[in-house]
Amino acid sequence: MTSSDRWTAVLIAVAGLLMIAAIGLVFGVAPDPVNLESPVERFSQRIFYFHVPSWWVGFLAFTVAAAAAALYLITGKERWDVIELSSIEIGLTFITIGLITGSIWARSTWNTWWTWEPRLTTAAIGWLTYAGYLMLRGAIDHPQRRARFGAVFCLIAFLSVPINFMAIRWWRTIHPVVIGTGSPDAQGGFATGPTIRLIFLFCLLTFTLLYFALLSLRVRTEWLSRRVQQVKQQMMFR
Amino acid sequence: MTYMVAAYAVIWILTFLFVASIFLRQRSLRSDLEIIEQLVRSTGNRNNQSME
Repeated sequence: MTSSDRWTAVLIAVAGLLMIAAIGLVFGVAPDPVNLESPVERFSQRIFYFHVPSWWVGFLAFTVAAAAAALYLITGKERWDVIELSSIEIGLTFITIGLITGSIWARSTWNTWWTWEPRLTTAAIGWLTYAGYLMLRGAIDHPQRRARFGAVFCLIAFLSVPINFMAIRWWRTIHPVVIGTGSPDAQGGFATGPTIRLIFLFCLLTFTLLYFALLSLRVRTEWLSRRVQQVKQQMMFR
Repeated sequence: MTYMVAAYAVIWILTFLFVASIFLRQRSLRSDLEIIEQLVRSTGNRNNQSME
């Protein structure tokens, strides 16, 4: 086992332990918000502790991917392409979680699984854009061309991240805002006391660590995959 | 409560599937690499024998 293998294992173990602690805090310690009266709303509100961090990981992953894409275009080094691809796969997984959990929460709060309001629409566009990135990469055979096109696509796709984040602050929407002031039409918002805020921050930290653990694991797999491809090509041209 | 349970189930299932997919890919790549390395070694041995 190399030292980076050990670091990956330590990161995964710590992220796993923090995740268990986060579940304990969410279900054992977090109080019900004072302004939510119905039991359905109170139970559903607990989705918030993992729904928002899922989106946070998605946005973080796409930001890291955009930075890696820019660095790839500047330096041409393969390592940035590996980080970009790995980060986007993780980001897409987590925004899928964010979309599905958001839809379940919407059903209990707004009485609908989906509505074409600004936040949900920009979220769906973002998801489709990053899914398109993976399809684009799958459609190009030449490795350098695939990396270059992927990096350009990734930078364009990144535009969806700030638009999605600001959608609930710029436009009239029913999606509530946790931090800052949202639209007057927002439904399902709740009061966040110090305990709720602290537990929420703990969940954010846990998900951030989980992201870095997964990134480390995924990057190693991608290097392994490229090594296998390289050896196969060498064998064919011997 | 049903919605909360459904949401957390989705979170765990998708996270588990993603992590499992990485480990499965890693395992399959390692076995591919092992096979290729064995092939390279056996081809090298055959070449050496024919040169002798």
